[in-house]
Amino acid sequence: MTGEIVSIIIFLIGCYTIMVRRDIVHTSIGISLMTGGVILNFLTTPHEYMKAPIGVEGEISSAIADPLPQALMITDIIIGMATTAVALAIFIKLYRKYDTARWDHALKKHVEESD
Amino acid sequence: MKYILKHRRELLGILTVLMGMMCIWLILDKPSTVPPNDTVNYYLENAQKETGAINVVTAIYLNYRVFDTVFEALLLLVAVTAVLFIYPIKPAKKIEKKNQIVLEPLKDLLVFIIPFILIFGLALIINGDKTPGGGFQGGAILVVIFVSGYLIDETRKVDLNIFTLVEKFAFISLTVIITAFLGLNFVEISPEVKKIYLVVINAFIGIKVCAGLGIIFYRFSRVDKEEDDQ
Repeated sequence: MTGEIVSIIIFLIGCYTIMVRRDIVHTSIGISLMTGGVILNFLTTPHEYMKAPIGVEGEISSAIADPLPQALMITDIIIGMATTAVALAIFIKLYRKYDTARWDHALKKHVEESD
Repeated sequence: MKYILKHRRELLGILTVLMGMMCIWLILDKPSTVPPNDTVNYYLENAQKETGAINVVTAIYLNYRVFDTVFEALLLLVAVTAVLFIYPIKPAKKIEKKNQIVLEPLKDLLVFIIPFILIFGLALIINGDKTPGGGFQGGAILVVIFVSGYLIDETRKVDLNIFTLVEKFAFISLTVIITAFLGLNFVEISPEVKKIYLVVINAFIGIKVCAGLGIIFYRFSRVDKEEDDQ
């Protein structure tokens, strides 16, 4: 229960960051926060305070945490890391070219240059 | 319309808070018991004797859902390729001392701590099928060695071509071993071979993640200095 509420709060902080900020770094941080919220939600949802699924042959399965979301969240962590790395690499290139960290200013400069 | 644009942040904040309250209300309303799930029961009952892994999570991501793992490793390779496409590898050279990041006492601590990080990462990788660990976690911990090495002496020259070679080799070996293992009849393989398979695959995943994250870290660490050289 606690983990779920915390995960929702983290996810919504990420949502709010993406909606309000027009800074590229802030947007990347918001996406990372949303990924963290999703991971925390999947890991805590039905099985807080349950036994870890290690060496559990022959035990009652209702007392053991679900191993499937845990295995899938490893994938999610790597994907979040990879997207953040690529986004930051593109950001540095964009910053060198347009000398601004904001989406709207960079777009405006791009339109001015292309005219 | 003007009012909405002017108070955009406040209105979006109110919307977010309302969304959060609704989600929390839905959570409080949901039943506390989880209905029995056939997939999970199957995994919990049969994973240990079918795959030889004591940790059921390892059994899932290296046996039942091994394609997830292969394509996840491919995704990391694609991300590294994208970073290297944007910032191509420059020939390795020694850069002269500039700004020192770490204070002197902290350097001694880092030198002292590196062997322990190495042992911790290797233990996580080798015991991936018995404990809560595995290739991804162990590889991510092993990268800390490279980061500490950079903090101790940032002028040391690093050849990133070796890193890319290691990563490619690890990914190809990973694919070949998994394909060969899936091609054989899954049930007839002896438990000892299955355990060796788990350790070997975890080791290759660890090497791959370590090399990939190392490339990303070193590439980002040199971007600033190369700009100064130009």
